[in-house]
Order: sequence, then structure tokens, then C-alpha cells
Amino acid sequence: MKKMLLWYVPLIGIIVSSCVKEPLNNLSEDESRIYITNYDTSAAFTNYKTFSIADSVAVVSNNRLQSREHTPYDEQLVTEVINALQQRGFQRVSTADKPDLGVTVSRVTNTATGVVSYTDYGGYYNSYYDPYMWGYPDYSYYFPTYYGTYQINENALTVDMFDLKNSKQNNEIKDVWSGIVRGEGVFQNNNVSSQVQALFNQSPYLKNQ
Amino acid sequence: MKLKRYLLPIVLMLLIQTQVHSQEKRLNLTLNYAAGIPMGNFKTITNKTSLRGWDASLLYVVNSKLSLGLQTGFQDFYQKYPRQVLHSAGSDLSAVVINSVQVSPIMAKVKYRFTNSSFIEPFVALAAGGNLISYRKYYGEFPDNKSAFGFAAQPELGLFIPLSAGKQTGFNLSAGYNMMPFKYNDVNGLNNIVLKGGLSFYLR
Repeated sequence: MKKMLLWYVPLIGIIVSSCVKEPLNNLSEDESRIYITNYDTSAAFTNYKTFSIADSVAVVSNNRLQSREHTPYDEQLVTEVINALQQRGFQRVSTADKPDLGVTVSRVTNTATGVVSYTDYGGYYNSYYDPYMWGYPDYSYYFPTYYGTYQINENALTVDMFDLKNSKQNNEIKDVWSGIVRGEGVFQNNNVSSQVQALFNQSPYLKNQ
Repeated sequence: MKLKRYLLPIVLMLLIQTQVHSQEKRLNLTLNYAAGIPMGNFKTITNKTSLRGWDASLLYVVNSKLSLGLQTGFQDFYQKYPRQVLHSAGSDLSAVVINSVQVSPIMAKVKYRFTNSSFIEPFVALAAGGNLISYRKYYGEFPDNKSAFGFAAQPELGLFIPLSAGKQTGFNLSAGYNMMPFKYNDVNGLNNIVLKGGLSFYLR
């Protein structure tokens, strides 16, 4: 009997140790977010002195403009961007004053749909719902070949800066800086300030002095 | 790999050198808990010891010293790095980075016991075969996945400590070096030292 018990020691070890430490189970909402900034390496940001910003925020869904909105969240967002730029020495002016930079803020929602094959999905079903719960501990699940669909909604916040100063020279309005925030809680009011700060903190070249 | 080339001559040499005892032809099962310690370039992906692993081997006892069979196992490596800004030309990315690697080698194994007359039996073993690899690098919640089937080899040194006079069951303690080539982006090799402890017993 003692020998039998001893056999269970490594078996228990196997069961315990076979658990994979799942990355997504160890991420807080803040940690889930990523901040991406892209910039035109040929742009001399110190040459830009003034900027103008759109008061409303563009709401983009699946690459199409849905509306322009000015919710409390949008207002807070635009204000944070204005503050960040002014702290770096840029002066806010109206569009009539021919600003050097045009700034826009957008909320982007993309919905992706796909097909999940139950042949793959069902392969792990024993770990989702142990057959023991039905009273058949030794049984395995069987899935015929059928399919299901899934839908993923992903939110992103984007801030873009366009070179208006040299637009006539090149006959184009070039995006010289873009900041993107993706992840959980992007559209929550209490995250607005830290998100904008993060974008500007990782862009030390954004200054006009 | 040089190891593959040398495996067959080593097995043949051991077969010739040891005397066959037909009465010892039995199946031996070993179940181990395993800890993995990343080595070499793998340490740039994770330098944390993995305590989530196991291995099992089923060996046919050819004679008093030699056993041949199969070994499989699993090890989960994981490391989470604090938020960092990754720079590239014209682009910066701030993210919490998590590396997650799972390896499941399935190998042929040859085991050689130096003696079976002493109470504690030291042994050496060599396993070589395939390796199911799952690699995931997360930037925040966004993963970069790569699955592959690669080569794996494991030289091993260990001790068998019997629990009874008949040596039917005993503790297995060993250390091995996992050679696991794998190249993908900034990953170049998943070599690791594996420390094992478990039970070894004969199947009736």
C-alpha cells in the first residue's frame, strides 16, 4: 500500500507541473496596453512652432468614419493632447493662423470575425469540462466536423500630427507623427491622462526648442 | 548533428560489452518531476528556472546494464519583463513583454547502469529525437506565435536509489542537458539544464 501511495507522488507532480503559466492570466489592464509611436525621421520637429487641433474626435469603425463626437471622454482627451504639446513648447493657434502642425485624435474600433473549427476546439474540451461532471470520468468528448463563428472587437486610440507648414511645397499633408494606444481600457476616462503622457514620454524629439 | 551520428555506435558498443541476462528483460517506467534552467542564448528570452515540468520514460531492460526505450516530457518556461520602450528606426513601442515557451520532446533513449551490485546505482543516459515547440512573445496582450517541430537531445547523469531489496521500485535523481535548437526572430536555441526527481519502477 505504501508503495502504491508513493507512485502517486510523481503523478501529482506531473498534474501540477503540467499547468502552463498563461501570459494573459498574468496581465493587468494597464499591462495589456501597448503604446506605439511612429515618426518621420526626416522631420525636424524643432522647426514647428504652432499647432491646431480638431475639437471633436473622429470615430472610426472598420476603417470607415462613423461620426465626429465630443463626449466628456473626447474633451478630456483633446485637452490632454493640447497640454502635452504646450508643455513641449508648441503654441496652439486657430486654423486661420496657419499652424505648422495639424493634430487629430481618433477612436478606432475594429471588429474581426472568423470561423472556429470544432475539430480543433474540441480537442481540449476535456480540460474545459471534465467528463466526470456528467458522471462519465473515463469518457472523452467527440465533436463531429462542424464550425462556429467568433467576433473580436478591438479598440484603439490614435493621435496624428500632420505637417501643414510644408504642405504646399510637397502638395501633400504628410503625417509626421502618430501615436497609437491599443489594449484593454483604452476608452476609459481614468486612463486618458496616463495614455497621452505615455505617448509623449516616449517621443522626446517632440519639442520645438 | 554530431550527436545523431554517434548515437548508433554507442548503443552497439554497449550491447556488445554487456552480458545479456534474459531473465531481466522487463519494462521499466520512470516518472519525474522536472525543473528546467535556461542556458546559453535561451537566457536572453528567459533566465527564470521553470518549475513546471515533468518527464516520463518507458525503457526495455536489455540486460543488467543496458536499457532502451522512449522518453517524453514537458517544460513550460515563462518570463514577464516590466514595461519597456523598444526602439527601431522611426518607431517606438512601449509594452510589457512576456515570453512563453513550451517544449515537449519525444525521444529515443539509451540508459547505461554502471553497476547493479551496489545499493545506489549510478547511470548515464542519452536521448535524442523530436521536439514540439510552442513559442509566444506577448507585447501587452498582443502575441507573436510560432510553433515548430525541432530536434532535441539530452545527455543525462543520475542515480537510482532502490526503495526495496529487490530493487523493483526506487527514487530516480538525475540531471540532464537539453539541446534544443530553435531559431525565430530574436530566439536562437532553447538549451536548458534539467533537474529531475521521481520514481522508477518495473511494470509487471
